[in-house]
Amino acid sequence: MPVFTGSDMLTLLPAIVMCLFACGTLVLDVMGRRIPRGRRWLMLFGLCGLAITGVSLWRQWSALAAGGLSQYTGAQGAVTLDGLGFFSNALVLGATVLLFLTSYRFLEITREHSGEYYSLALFAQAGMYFMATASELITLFLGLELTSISFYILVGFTRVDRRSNEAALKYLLLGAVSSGFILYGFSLLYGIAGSTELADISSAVSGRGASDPFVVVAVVTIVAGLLFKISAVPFHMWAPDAYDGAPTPVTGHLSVASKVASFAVILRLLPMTLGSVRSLWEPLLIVAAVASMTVGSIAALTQHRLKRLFAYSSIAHAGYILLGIIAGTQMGLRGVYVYLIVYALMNLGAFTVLTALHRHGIAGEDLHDLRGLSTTRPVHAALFVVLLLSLAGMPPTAGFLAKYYIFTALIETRHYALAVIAAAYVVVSLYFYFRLVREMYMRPAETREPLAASLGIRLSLYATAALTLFIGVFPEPVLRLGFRISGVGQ
Amino acid sequence: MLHAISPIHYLVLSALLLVIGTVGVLLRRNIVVILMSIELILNAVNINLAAFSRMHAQIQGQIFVLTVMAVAVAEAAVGLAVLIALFRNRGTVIADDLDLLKW
Amino acid sequence: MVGTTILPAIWLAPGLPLLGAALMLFFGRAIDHDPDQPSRVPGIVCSTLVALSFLVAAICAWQALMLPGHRFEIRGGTWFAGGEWGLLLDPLSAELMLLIAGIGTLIHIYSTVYMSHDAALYRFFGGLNFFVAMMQILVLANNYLLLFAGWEGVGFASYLLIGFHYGRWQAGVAGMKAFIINRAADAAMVLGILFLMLKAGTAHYGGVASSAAHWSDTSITLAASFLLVGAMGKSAQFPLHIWLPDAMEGPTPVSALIHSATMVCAGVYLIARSSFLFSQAPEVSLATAIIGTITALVAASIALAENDIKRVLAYSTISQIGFMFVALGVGAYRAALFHLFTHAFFKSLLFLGAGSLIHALDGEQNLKHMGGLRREMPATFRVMWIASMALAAVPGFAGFFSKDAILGETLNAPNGWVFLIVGLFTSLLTAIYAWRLMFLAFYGEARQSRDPVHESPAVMTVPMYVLSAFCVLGGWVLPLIDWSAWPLMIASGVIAACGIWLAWRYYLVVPDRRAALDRRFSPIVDFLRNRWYIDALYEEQILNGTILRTASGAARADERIIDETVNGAAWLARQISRVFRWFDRWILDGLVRSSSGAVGFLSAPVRSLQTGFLQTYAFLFVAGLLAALGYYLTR
Repeated sequence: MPVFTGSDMLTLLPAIVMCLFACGTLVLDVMGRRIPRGRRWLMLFGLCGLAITGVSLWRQWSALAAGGLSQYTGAQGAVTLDGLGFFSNALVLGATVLLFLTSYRFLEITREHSGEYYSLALFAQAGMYFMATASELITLFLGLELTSISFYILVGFTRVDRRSNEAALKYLLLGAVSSGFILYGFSLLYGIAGSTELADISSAVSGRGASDPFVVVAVVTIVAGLLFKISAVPFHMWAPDAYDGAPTPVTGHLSVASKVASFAVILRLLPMTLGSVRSLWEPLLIVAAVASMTVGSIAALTQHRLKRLFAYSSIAHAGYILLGIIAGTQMGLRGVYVYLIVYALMNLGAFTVLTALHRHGIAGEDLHDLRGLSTTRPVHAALFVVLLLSLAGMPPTAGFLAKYYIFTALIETRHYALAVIAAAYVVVSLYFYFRLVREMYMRPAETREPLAASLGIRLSLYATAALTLFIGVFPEPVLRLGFRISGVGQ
Repeated sequence: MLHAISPIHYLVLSALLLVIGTVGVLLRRNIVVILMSIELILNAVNINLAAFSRMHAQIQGQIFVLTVMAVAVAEAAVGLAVLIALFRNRGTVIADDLDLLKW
Repeated sequence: MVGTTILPAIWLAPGLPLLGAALMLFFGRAIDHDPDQPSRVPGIVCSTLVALSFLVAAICAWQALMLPGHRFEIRGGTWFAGGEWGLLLDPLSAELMLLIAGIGTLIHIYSTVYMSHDAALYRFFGGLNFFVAMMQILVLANNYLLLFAGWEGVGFASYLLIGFHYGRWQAGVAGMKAFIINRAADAAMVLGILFLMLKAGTAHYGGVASSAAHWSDTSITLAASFLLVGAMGKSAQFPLHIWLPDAMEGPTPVSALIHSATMVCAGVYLIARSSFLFSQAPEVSLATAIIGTITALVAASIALAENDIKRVLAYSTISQIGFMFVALGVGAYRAALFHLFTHAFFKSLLFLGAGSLIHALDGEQNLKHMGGLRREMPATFRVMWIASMALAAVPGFAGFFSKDAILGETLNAPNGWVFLIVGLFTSLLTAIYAWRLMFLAFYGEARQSRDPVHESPAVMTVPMYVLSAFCVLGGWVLPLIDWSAWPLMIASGVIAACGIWLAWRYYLVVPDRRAALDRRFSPIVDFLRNRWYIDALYEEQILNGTILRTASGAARADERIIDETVNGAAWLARQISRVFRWFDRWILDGLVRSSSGAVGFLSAPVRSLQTGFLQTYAFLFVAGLLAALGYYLTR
């Protein structure tokens, strides 16, 4: 019988660290309620946890590299350490760090500052660790649910805000239904394979073929549930509402971390595990990608609530990322990775700006709240423009690079129609991103109330915008690092 | 004449439960009932898993069932908690009244 | 300088203006914060930097041309897949680089006075510097990717500068329009560049060229077509030309620099740079020539009937670039670049002269409200006179030699006589509209409301004098004159003279007796009459206070079609967006409750499902899932 060994310990180390620190945050929160500025120490404690998580991820990676292994399955076959997992975890870790940095002032202003926030974020991160690394269904399911449940609570974190309540409830109910369907698919896969290991499932499914009704139902339900997680049309309806109602830093985190982890699950389940029935899921992804780009780009055109606008924009981006999976080649896969890095950077940056817009007495959630930003906070406005240009895919920002990889992959695999459609929506998207620029640069300011630009917010804005620009101009070092971590060549 | 009960029968039962749960989610107005319908969906999954576990004479499926149960409880708890917060603010548990966020 | 070379410092040519743009971005507000007392510092700093850039460019160009092979290349590290980056200085890029830095310097100096009444000048000069930097990168790039970076950069700079007076609604809209049309064309260009990179495995000009030698005709045609569309957008060629006249909303120096001399010629540069593709793609070349011919003719005829002085010049620019496209299409790349060179001088001079008029008349741009200004503004009159001579291609002036070079080359193309005939006819129109402008503005009786009018200060006139020297000498400095085509030269000289004489008769001598004259010059005047009729109509409407932007039948027809297409596309996008929002709203809000007839048949089942918002989401989820299942299980 296998026992819990040292290598199992190493496999689970980051998750253990995260959970310990999550619990620790809760305990400290209760103990330190009366300490002045106790929340700040709590946040720093959380950041320490993230740092140690980072170190333990690094330990894992270097242990693997030292052994010359490209992957290692441990914890009795439950968890696989490989490039995909490291890539996703590193991105999620970065996103969580930025969440901690940007949330502090926001929570002060909304008077909802308590330790659970950091604790839940850490739990969500632990969930995403398992999403990205699970190599069998039960672990994967636990990861999915740990992430989702933490996010349900985070979305509804401002308890007295009716919009936040509503967003949380809608997200929860729909999320639970989608989990139910994914789970139904999992149960069928288990029935087919007689095992929950992804490797066994892969061979059993390729034995049955794509015409087997069990395989069809399993694949369709799982794909639908996963498309829900990345908010692809037509399973996207929760996203605008949940994004709009959630506290702004959480929205940013939701749109980046949970999406990155969900794409990791998609990559692991579809091309890696169910690659033999590509003919089943590829058409679904194509339809979803085209529909997402369409709905996302077009619905955003006339949207004036900022977070909804970014919700639609991130729906469209999900469509672009799916295109990379559809292309399926090495180039396409790289496109997915590059796009995820770039998407994470620019979306986090954009939501940092939105977070800073939330001031005492000003919700800062509408387009006109951006007015005159170029005169009141020119640096923030300029950096925001960089991020918007990147979101629109303009050179010389990173967004162009991401789209470049996707388009190249599409052309390489002769998906000309998809390439043309995608290019057309780039033009459409330009229009709505420029509406924001217009508000900032061509309308006088309505308020002199300074932005809630704390040190953390400024740090994360500078970091994301600078990286966005840097990757756009000198992509080589970052790309090489990304490809090396994810193990797709170079 | 009695037919032996095969895994197919369990699959049909679970599919029925799934449909009932889904329809419940789509049709019922009370959010508490919607939460219960979601439980039905999860139980459909549980029946599947248990039946397959039996069919393959193998334990993993039953572990999966227990995991799903635990998670379902957690999900329901969070759901009810959010619902209570909503009820305090809005005084309603009817799905149609959730109309602040739209377009 | 013996033995030493500053060539590796060529990056300073774009670097210095970029520094200026960065300075203005970061410190501009600190320097120039008081709107009532605009600071002169941004103008001085930026002008100095551009002048230094010109100095660097001049020395580098001279040294590079001394090198064996007449070229110098800096090759940098890899940029990303398939792209290394570096700068290339060869005769082609050297010409453009000098043009940009030289004219850029003059216009910077001119602007320090012209713009002195505006607030936030750091934005203006920063944008202008940014433009110069990006344009230098565009022409100095040694690969398509870096070229494209510059290409987008100049587009962005143009957008910023057109919208400089963003307080004016039209200025903002014009900026957006220019930007969006350019983006649409750029989409094609991106595809083209991607295609080249995929085929060749590199974006480097040399690499692509050596690889392209082995490509199939289809590949070459495809790549050239994509690049042609990109070039048409940037160079405002029919039917993508409509953004350029609107771009005249920008300040006049911007029009002079960006929208006449440099940026709009980027398309010509692109095609010349890709001549290895176009010379292998006869169909695309033919298309280029045809597009150029149509553009030249249509734009010249519209210019005849425009009354806004800057719009006349804008259409004139479009028309002249049309000539360059004709030259590119018939394979006469040298002639195209020759015309680009001379055109840059006389057209920017015309714009600066027009700016001087507008400046003196407090913003008046309507030719009908000018007249007799030669007495009050002698310096402006003199330089405009020279520039108009060059535009009308009067023998001896710069425009004459370059346009003649183009027309002479057309005969080398199959069926080239068509291009020649249309080209000569367009030349006639050119001479007429060029001198119509002169006669209306500078001769006859005064029609302006302002009195007295003062000549512009020396800071503005000196750059104009410098440019006018080039308008006279520009044709002679490049060794490109082909004297053997003397019959054609005589013909064009006669045509130019005819044009000027017609303009003189028509607009100056007998303006009151147009009806009588019309009968005498029946064919030409019949052609013009329609324009005149509409011109008068439009003029009346302008007097009535309605702002209409087109002046002739051609203008009306083509602007209506194209504007409607653009507006229609925008409208369509809005409508689709509305449909989607309505859809979301319906799914969410449920028209269910307000059972409307149109969706009644959907409303009933949905109502029977007690659809609330949440559940319609769930409904869509399940519907999507069932659709997928149904598709596979019934297959």
